[in-house]
Amino acid sequence: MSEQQRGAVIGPSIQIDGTLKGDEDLLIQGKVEGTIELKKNSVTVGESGEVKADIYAHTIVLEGQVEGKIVGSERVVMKKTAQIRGTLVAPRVMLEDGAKFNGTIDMDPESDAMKSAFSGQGRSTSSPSTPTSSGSTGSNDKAVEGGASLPGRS
Amino acid sequence: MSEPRKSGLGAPLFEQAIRDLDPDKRIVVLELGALRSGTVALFTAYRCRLDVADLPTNLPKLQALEEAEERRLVLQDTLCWPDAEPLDLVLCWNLLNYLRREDIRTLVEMLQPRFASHTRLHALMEYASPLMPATPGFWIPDAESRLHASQVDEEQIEAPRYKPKELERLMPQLAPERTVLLGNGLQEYLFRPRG
Repeated sequence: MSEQQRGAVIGPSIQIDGTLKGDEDLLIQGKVEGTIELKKNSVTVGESGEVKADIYAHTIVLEGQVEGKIVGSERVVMKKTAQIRGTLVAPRVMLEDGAKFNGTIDMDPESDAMKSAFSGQGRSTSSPSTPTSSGSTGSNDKAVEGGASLPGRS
Repeated sequence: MSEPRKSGLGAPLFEQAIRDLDPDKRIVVLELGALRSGTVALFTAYRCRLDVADLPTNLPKLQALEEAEERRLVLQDTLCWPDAEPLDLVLCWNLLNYLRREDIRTLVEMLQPRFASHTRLHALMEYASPLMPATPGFWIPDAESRLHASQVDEEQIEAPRYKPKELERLMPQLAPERTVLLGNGLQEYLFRPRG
């Protein structure tokens, strides 16, 4: 994705029920129920975001409330304001202390959940294709503190 | 008024439990407490499934309910996973002291279906001191499996100081493999399933 492209934004007053698909990064500050599929892009659930949906994306950054299945082919970052309930699948997971999580985190690249969601894409060793808020890819890294810069946004 | 615990606690049984995990095999870990950054970082090096119960969030609710059956339902909801794989390691840090005796029985009863012969339950409990923080603090492991205290409540309450024999009675499904009294007065346990 070109750095000049801007990601899409679902604003705080927007509520969406259904399936979201696309080829650009997405920031959710509103409410979404259903399924979000942006397998080559990043999805950020902002602090005011409320998502009851399954999310499939390259990189997922969580700052708001999410209930559902969260599958990131590259990584998932839970910021300190995040409140998550559900199943999270990603080869790399980072969590800021303060984030609330209840459920299952599967970090096994050989897991059925990972294989079925991304059909054969295992643990990636490449750098993420889009910039993210943590700016780090090390497997033992702690997520950075501070506010997020939005993926794909200048 | 309590002093903050020293950081970087060496917990030899936890270190042993981590050493015993096979980095090439899928492992399943159950964190009964709240998820912390260090726990995620430690297990991300493994092919790990990490189940997080976050019991501390439900402790106020559990403590307020008088009826055992109501508390059982809360525990059931907390410990319910749709796809419950056998466990390699259960982390139970600073939690048993905050549960009533019958809730400890219920908790282990609910975990038992996920026990395998190789399952280990690692527990940390207040033991030496008659007082303990009013709410459970958190332990954050580092890459060397040393534990760092976080959010230690300065308000204190009486500690139940369960003795090893009493814990065995409350958790008949488990046998203590090793116990160590740590320098800061905490008792460290490594339990394995009986039989």
